Amino acid sequence: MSGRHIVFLLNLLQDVNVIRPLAYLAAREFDGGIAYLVSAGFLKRDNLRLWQRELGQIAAETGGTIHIYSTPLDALAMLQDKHGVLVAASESTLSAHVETHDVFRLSPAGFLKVTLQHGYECVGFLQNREHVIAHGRNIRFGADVVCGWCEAPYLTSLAASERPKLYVSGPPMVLNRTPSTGGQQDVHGGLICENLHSVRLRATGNHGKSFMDNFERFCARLAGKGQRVNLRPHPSGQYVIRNNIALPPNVVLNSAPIYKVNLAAFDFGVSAPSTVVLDMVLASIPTAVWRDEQGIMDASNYEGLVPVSGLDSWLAFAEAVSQDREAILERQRAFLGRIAMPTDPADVYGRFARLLGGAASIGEVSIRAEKAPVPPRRIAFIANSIIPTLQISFLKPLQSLIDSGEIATDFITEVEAIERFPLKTRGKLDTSDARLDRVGGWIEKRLAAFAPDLVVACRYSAPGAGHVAAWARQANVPLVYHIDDDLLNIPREIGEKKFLAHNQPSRLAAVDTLLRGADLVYASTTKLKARLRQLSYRTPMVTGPIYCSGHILNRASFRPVRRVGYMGVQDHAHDLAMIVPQLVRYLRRNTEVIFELFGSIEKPKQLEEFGERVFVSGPVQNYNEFLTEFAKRNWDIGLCPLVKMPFNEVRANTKWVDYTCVGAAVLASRDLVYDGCCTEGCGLLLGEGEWLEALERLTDDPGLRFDMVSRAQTRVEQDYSVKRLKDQVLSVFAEASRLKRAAKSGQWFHHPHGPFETRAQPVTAEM
Amino acid sequence: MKIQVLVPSSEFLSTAGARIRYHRIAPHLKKLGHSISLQVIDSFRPRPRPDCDAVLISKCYDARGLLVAAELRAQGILVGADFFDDYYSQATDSRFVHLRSWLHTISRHLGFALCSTPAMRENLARLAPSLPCHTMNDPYEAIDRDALADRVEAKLKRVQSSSVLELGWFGIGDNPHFPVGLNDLVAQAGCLAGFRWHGLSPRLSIITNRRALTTERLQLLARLPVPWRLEEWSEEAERRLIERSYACFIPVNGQPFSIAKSLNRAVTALTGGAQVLSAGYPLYDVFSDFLYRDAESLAADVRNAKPRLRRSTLPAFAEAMERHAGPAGEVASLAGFLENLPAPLVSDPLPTFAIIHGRNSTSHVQKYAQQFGHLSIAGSHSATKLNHDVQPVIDSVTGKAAVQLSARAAELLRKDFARAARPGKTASGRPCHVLPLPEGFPRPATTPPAPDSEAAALATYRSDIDDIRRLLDHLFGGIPVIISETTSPFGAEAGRSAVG
Repeated sequence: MSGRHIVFLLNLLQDVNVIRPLAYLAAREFDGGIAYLVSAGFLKRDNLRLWQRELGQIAAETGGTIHIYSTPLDALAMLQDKHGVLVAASESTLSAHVETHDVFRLSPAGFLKVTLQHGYECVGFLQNREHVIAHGRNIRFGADVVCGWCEAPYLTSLAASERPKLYVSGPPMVLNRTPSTGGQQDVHGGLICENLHSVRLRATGNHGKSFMDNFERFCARLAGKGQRVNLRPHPSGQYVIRNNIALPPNVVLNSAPIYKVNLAAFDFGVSAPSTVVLDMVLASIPTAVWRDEQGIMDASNYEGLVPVSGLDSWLAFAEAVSQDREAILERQRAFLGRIAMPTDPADVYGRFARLLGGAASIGEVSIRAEKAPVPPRRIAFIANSIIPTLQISFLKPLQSLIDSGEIATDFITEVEAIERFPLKTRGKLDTSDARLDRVGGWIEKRLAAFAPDLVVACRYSAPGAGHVAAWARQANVPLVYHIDDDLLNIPREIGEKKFLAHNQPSRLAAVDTLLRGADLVYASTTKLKARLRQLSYRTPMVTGPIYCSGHILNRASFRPVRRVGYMGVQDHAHDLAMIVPQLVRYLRRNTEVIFELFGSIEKPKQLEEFGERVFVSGPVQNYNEFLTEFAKRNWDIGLCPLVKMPFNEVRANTKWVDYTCVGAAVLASRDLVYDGCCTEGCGLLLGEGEWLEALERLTDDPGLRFDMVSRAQTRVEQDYSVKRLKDQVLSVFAEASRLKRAAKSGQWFHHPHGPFETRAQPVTAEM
Repeated sequence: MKIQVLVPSSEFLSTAGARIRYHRIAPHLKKLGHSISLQVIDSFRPRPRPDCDAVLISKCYDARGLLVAAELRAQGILVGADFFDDYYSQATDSRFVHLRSWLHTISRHLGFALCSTPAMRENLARLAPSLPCHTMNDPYEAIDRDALADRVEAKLKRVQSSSVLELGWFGIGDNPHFPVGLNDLVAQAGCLAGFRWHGLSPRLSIITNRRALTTERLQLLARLPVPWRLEEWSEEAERRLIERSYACFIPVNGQPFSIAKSLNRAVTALTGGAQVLSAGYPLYDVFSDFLYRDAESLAADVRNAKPRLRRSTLPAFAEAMERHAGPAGEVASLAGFLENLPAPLVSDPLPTFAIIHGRNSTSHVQKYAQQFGHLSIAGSHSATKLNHDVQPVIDSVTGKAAVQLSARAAELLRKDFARAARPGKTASGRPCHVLPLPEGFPRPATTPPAPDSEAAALATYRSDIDDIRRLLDHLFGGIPVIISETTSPFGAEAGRSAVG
């Protein structure tokens, strides 16, 4: 897959800890591909295969691909044709980082190269004396941007040449959610962390021995009290494991990835200078920093935290934790304040999102066609039936082009398929593969006969989805999948029957097939697109600023409120039910007002007391006729209640457009899909208990209602015009064609069998 | 006339060099009643007299080439060498001592030299003035004018409709000694950025050998001012590249090695239907009417739909090609040259050579020499352990200096020494003849002094070789000598004849 990518480089095992939160952030926030470029050294170091499994899981959950590289050339083979952001957790001029540094050196110009500070004390960012002895002071980076954890004055080891590259992001680890203790081994007691492999414990003496001596004596003392001690080896060094160090019997080893450990569950933590100290401080457990008894080892970067050295100080600290825990935690908060490190997860998330978001758009312009796209001439629409979505999203905006003959259309629907291939034969439901194949074959024949230059599958979830995708691929015709609900997570609230129908495995599979197999997914809202990204769909995806267009059918008129209504299908019964009690009170107080339900929704029983003042007008299938009928209702107020649940978060604001077009003022649920369109007095946004008051306000003040409708109608004319939606739809079509062309020319330009590509093939997520 | 080309390895047989230079002329030679065939030198037997009229040594830069040339000349066969890389004219460059030494030695046995360019011929005229020399340009393969015109027009249409300018660069990306290939590409690529000013979006495809793609070179490529993509070189990949590229970018730098290069890259690109944009040294000036020297002219011609290589310029193009790279003309001229050369005199009996292994020799040379009855002689600096025919040693029992001789060497000893030779065994237990080291010759060192020091070896190299040469002269009486050396700065021989 060519084009925009966020590529994460992994070389050292602990890189997974650092990369992980950003990988999920990338999957939530950005389009384009996500890839993990893993050095062969990583695999070699991971002899327990723990980190490969972790990475496999991250890749699967973020929809990313994993590539292994042995040489820089292998990495280049994977990176060429792509642009975006290249992120490394450990990259510098140090020889230990050569695998990642070399990739940065040769990465294509369309990538912004980002090096992350991977630990609190980190070469090139903030070094201790042992770092300086081992590696010197002049560590540099191949990156364009280096993400530091603290403000510049606190990153005292950043070389002068690297300072302009600094972007203070804060530590990515604060983005990890605190794991529950469920499934984790029994964690009471303190947590002792070893990093005996580290240069910190070697460069100025054999401090590791001193640490282990104290540790063993500490364990012996606690064993005497019947207490256990948890020991956590460094994720990469794993000194006590790799060297088969004999451990006291009351020691419990904890070597799970840090993001899977609920640090807050431990009573306290002790570690020699290491990033895990910060982890424990951020988890708000009393934490002590160990240093050798002679005071040779440099622990100055942890100044302010509780120091421990000999056994007595270990025991004193354990005692202080039970006696004066809050004072220790206060000390730690002061320490965090002093090192000027952003720790608020929302803040850090925003910092990374801004950096990666800006960078991910690099190079976009260069791959876009310079010339105006040729609009498609023949469009095949595939839908379950001629559903409202098809009419709202395509037929209405394209009506003028269809009428003038500029665009020829064909409609292939499940309804027609059922007519030709009945679901029941001799009274029995036919669920055989043979029928599905017949349907698929029929769809392919229809497509071939019509010979479209674009195929649009609109909310399609019926048999033959795979055939549609295969035909489009084989015929080299762009395929757009339009989706306006989270069809993979239809909740029970919309009604048992529909819930069961939508959640049939075959329908879910059809949606999945089209989400994966389309050249472009056209989602109704940015939130729906984000939801699909969360579900790991990496197919190119677009949304437009508007979903439903409208033109004014009834101009706003100054009049008393007499007609209030709700338009919708039975799926929305639960939404309406939310406000029915308030509606009852309103109708009781305002006897001159009638309430109308328009659509397939049934009349709630609580409204029976109002007799003919509350009535239902049945659904009208044809969208144009629906609008004409709807306009005749002359509603004064239209209601848009939505229950707050994930399914409703990704819906579109169609009701607001329709109500506004027929001259009704809109009352809508707050914090869901109407927040944007109802701003600046174009509607009233309401919490769950605010509906009665709002209805009363508008009823009491016809001028307020009139002004609201006028403003909303101006907004529809400016922002929701049919012309605007037409342009949007045509640009979506153009994008699909461009993607198809790019994919094709990519294959032509980049010979798929080029030997340089053979060594960096994607591997499956489960390595 | 039967022409036999000797090449260093089977890998060479499939290179672009072999294909362009020899395979392309084969059918045209045949039309004139001649033939040409290629053979790896190791499988070529100079004795008994091979069935050919002329032998052309191509890129066989070790003592096997020298030995074959000397052997064949002694049998009255015309021997030539093909010179298409200038490793000889940089007289002050110590990296090419062994190659200059090779040229110096082999030129004594050659009856002719073949050059790929006039520049190379000029160099050779200075270095080996008495050697008859002929320039054979690298020939083009074929020109199908109609297909060429159609291809050029289709490419032009594609560029005009998409504004995307597909460019190609192909070739060997590196050289062990000179910054060429990809270095030239990067050095001259600035001009490619100019296409954007003219509304074109350049995209560069690079096809080269994997060895060239070191991190350092890839880092250079990362700074190219146009989007680019890499693919590994193969004949097929090169063909496809030229087929899809509107133009090939062929920069040349001005160093002596580069300016002596043949025209074949421009010829290949142009006859494949790609325009050529050249930059740097004007190596391809003879085709100046059909190639570009700047992006502006190329872009302007795209706009005006008048590329330099187009249907209406094809007759002139074909004429220029015929003049500078026409296979029929090149072949006729080569055949005429060879037929007019005098055959060398036959030596009788055929000489036996002593191959002295210098600092860096190879077992290939030793085996090749011994299988034809020549002697393999241990040099005091030899870094390779080989079974030699003549090996000065210190007797481990008596502590006296001696010379160990193979049966073949014992046969060739002067009669007075033959009587003094006694049977013995080498350190590895092989039977041999042992002769006390004659007086006046230095005792061999029990261990070579500072074996890892090139400088120490170089300091005594010439005198040691001279001592061995004197010893051979003393034992065998006037045996001709060849020094086997494959790396510089050894083998210079300080200007004296390598063949005694």
